[in-house]
Amino acid sequence: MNKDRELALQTVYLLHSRPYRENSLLLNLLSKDLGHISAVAYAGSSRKNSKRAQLQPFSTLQVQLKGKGSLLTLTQIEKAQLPLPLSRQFLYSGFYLNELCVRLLPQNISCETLFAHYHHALTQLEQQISIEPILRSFEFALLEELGLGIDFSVLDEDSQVQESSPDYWYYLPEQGLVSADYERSINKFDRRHLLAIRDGNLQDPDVLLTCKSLMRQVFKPLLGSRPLQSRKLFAYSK
Amino acid sequence: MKLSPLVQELIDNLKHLPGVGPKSAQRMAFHLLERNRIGATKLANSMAKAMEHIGHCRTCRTFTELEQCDICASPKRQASRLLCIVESPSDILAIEQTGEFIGRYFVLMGHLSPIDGIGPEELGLDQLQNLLSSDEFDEMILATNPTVEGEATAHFIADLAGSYDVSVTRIAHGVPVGGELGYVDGNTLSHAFSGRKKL
Repeated sequence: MNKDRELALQTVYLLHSRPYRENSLLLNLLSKDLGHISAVAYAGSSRKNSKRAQLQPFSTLQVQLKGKGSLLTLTQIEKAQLPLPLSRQFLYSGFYLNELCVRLLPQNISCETLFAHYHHALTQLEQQISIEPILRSFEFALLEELGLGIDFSVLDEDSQVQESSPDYWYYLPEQGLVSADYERSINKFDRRHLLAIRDGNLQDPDVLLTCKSLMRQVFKPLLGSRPLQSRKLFAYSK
Repeated sequence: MKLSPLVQELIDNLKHLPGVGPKSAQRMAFHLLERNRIGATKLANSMAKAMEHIGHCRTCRTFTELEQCDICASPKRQASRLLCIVESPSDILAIEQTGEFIGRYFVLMGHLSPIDGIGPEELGLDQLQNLLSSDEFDEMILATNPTVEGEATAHFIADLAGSYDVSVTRIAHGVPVGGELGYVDGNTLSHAFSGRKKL
């Protein structure tokens, strides 16, 4: 019998944990090398040696994992940084990022760039700067990771071909951006806004609004019928 | 060997208890049948009665067979004008054992956890808002657990309470009494430092 494979020390963020059996936790982790993974951790029965205190979201953990297959075992926490002191909307935004990852990211596929984006988003949230651009750029990174990045090149091509390029575009799932060649009153986007989004200029409030509704439309079919719970937190707190 | 249907049913139903698997359920069933039939009958009766009659207190949501629990109905506690928010009924027991707190409670029955589908509605926050608008309280103490989710819940409730005339406080986190600093985890210790008191 070959023993369970010990993996090298992993840098991870805890996305979600729930109780499993009496003294264990079932974890969703975002790892730098391994991507979105599930792991079981024995959290200990006594309070003294409990891992529970360290297994909190929004802190970088260095952990030892072992096992093969899709469910790993977390054997040791080597180093745990203090959780980022997020509060209020910034904390709810953190929950939003976690919920998106848990719901959409396939497991066991390495996602180094997304990890960097996640880390960057959290540090920005900690600085308590404007939330919307942070969330939007993370959403773009997530879409790229899922291979569903939006193709903005159609905007360019079109402008070269015809002088009177359409000013409005809309988004169709699995097709991407399509020019609005017939009158549609809802869900259409201004081309200038889309170009600004492509270039990452998210300062203008109108552009941000367009970006938000674009993202809503892109994520809607991906999330299915179950709505995101973390959005409710924002709705309540307004 | 196949067990007779009633015995099998008993074993299957014992598995509903937390932490009880097939083997423990079997042990429990045989023990009760062999040695303690009177006790088991009592257990069955009280279980049936409890499941039929116990509901939630209409003001604090804790478990009770009355419409309002004893704590909420106590005039002494009403006069204190203090409200303590906890995550579960077992937290009430822990606080009551200290004898420190004489006031009323509100039980959330969980904490905010979007991924598990627990949002503001599931925690009965509408009910809490009604309670706060009744103007029966001067202070609300948030005693949710010191986890990220518990913290989020506390902040969320504090924001909700902003529109009512009630002061909001959070229980302190820190080093356990009789503990040694060397054994306290860094997270708790940093909380203890950031929440230090002037002597």
